[in-house]
Amino acid sequence: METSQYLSVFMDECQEHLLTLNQSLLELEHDPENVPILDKIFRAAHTLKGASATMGFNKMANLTHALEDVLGKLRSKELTVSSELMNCLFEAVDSLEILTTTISEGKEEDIEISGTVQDLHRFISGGMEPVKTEQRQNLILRYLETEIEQITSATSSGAKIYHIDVTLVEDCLLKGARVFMVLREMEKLGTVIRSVPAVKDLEDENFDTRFVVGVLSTSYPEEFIKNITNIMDVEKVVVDEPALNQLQAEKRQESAVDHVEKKINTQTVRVEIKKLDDLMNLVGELVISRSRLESIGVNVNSRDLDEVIEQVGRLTLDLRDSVMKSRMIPVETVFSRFPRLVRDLAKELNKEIELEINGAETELDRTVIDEIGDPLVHIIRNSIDHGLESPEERERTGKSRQGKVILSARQEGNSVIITVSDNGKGFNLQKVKDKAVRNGVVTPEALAEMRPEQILELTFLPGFSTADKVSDVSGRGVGMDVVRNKVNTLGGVVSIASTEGEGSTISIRLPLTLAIIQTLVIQLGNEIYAIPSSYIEQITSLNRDEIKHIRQQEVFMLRGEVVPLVRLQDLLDTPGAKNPEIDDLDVVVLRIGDRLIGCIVDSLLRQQDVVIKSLGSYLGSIKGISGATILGDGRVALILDLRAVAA
Amino acid sequence: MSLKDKVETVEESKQLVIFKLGDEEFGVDILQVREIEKLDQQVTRVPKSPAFVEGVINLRGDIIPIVDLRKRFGLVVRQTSNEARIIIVDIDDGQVGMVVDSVVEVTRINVSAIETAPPITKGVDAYFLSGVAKINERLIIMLNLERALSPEEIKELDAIKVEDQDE
Repeated sequence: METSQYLSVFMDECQEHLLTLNQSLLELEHDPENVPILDKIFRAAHTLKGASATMGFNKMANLTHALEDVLGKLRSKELTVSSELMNCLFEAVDSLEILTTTISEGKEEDIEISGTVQDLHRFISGGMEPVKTEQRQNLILRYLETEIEQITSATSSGAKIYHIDVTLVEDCLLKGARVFMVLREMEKLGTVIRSVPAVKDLEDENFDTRFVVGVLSTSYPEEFIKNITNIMDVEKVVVDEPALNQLQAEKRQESAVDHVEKKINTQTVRVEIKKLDDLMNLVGELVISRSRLESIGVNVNSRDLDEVIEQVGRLTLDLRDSVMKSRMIPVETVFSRFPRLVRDLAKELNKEIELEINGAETELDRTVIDEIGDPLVHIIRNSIDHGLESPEERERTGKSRQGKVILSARQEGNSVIITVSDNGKGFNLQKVKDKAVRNGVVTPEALAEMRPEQILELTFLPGFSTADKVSDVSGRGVGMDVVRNKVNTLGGVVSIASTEGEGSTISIRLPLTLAIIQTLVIQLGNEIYAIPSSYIEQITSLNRDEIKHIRQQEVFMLRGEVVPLVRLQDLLDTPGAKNPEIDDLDVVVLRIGDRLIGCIVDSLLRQQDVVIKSLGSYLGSIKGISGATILGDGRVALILDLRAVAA
Repeated sequence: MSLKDKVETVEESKQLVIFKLGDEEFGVDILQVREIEKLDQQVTRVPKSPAFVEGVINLRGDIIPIVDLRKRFGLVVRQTSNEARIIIVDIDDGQVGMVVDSVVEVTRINVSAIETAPPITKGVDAYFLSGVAKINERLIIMLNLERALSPEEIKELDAIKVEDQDE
């Protein structure tokens, strides 16, 4: 069967199911009596087993089969949840994850799973004794719907269904021939319905020494035993008489499982990322063209044209919103791996930690979601490793033994804010200062001028670490500057707030979408620039007299607060800026991080949605410019990155 | 045709786009040239970019950086005339447009006509060149686009020049 074309679909399904497994196992750990969760886990394992078997990934099929058996025993209450069992289940899921990775890399199941399978089987057989290979094989006959019907009608007219378990001798040479003879005997006494392993596998000798055959017959079990045992190389024959209603119940359960899967699948559609990206680009071009149409329409002065342009405008915006929404995924997809991460870390470091997640339904553009995972992992690890104290230390300082990490996401205007808070020991400002000076990251003089928030931001600089020991978990302070870089490339801002002894909060502000943003278009001299609206706190006008000076820095008062002023032409070397001469100044007040800055421009032109176009790698990254856009009249306007202003 | 002639026509040749910068004629391999545009749109200045980068333009929806090689090589900068053009070329970092005084012709030359460039040719350091070609009496300076257009190289080169001068 040609399966390579299904490989990517298979991989997607694996990821989904593994995620479900991880999450659900965690829930089960907390709530061992939760039956629906157990069913959920069972379903996921069952589907994985079917999928991997179909694709021919035998190791994976084996492992999931063993997993399914353990889960089956849990459901039938033959096994109870213990921490040993949970660890084993988690290990199995980890192995499955590794398997999917090797499969995706084309290395085809390159790992050893027999250890994990053995562990799982110990739970199934309930003992720690080494078990012989053939007995560990769980051969279960699974009938088709039609076969069940056949059995049902036969049994109602007096026949019986037997499961005949045949074992051949270890050194049997012609297994295929023996199978043939066994089946022939069975056919003399009844009707063979199905076997496990399947008849084809038996004929190809794809089995060890044991197989089970389901036979409908009006004969007695003893006849089967006698006749089959007579065949050469047959070591053992056991006849089981399963109850019909048990078979029917098992079948119903299986169908129910499959049915639920189908239901869940029809509510969504898988779309290749590239298709969504292409769609996004097209919509972007449409937005630009619409703007140009508007500009032209102004000159043409036709009411009919204006009406149509307005309609096209509305449709374009709706289309854009829809396309953007289709690219948005809930942050949950990123957040979901954290409970497991926290659990494992807590165990490793002997700390007691509770993870609370809020706002997981908040949506972000898919490209941002892909990139924000690693930085978040690092931040959380830092929190747990350096921020949260050990249970003993927490008790000593009067805190609860269990430390808490709160991961939350919320939407605020055009941005999404993700925060990681902990109630650990917070940042020791003195330690930060000492370390910064010691590592040559800042001079003592500069340090003296810094506010607490600025001192904390030193931790983002490369080569910084306030950890006393370099631990395995988060290593040196290599991470935080990488985190900030990543957040910056995503067009976001990261900041730290901390209270010594009480905890810290790391906040990441990310734009809702990368490609189209709302901007304020302004003019400076003869040049036009676009300022992303997400940074704009408000727009105000100042009279020249209202400008005060503090140590040669121009400032003004805004609602009782002193706000520094920047004349944008100083940053951009713009020739011919008019604002030094005018009395009434237009000021765009920006909020960057938690600071306000007022930018003086020559004139405010309009609010406009723009498509961000990259400046390309030739120009490299220019401080203060985050990209370019094409205005309605075809001119290029640069999009300002004003975080540089705050620095 | 004599045997010699036949051999010559089979010899490897290149097709060049020849353009003028100031008084000199330069050439680039046509395989690297994407298109040639008139200089009729406004170039948007990019703050804090190297001096020879004029800015960027909108080319059917793409943002293309524009450089002025005359400034780059310290050649005479004429007033831009009707004949000025932008030659859009492909380099590793994407597409770049070069402002030139005029485009002369597209012609084919034999590879054998290309010689190594002397250390300085008409004020241009050999580092930026991939050779010089002689067509009859004309000297065509062949540009190595990657080097000529790369902003980093020039800084290193300036540093080296300064060292040389100190010695």
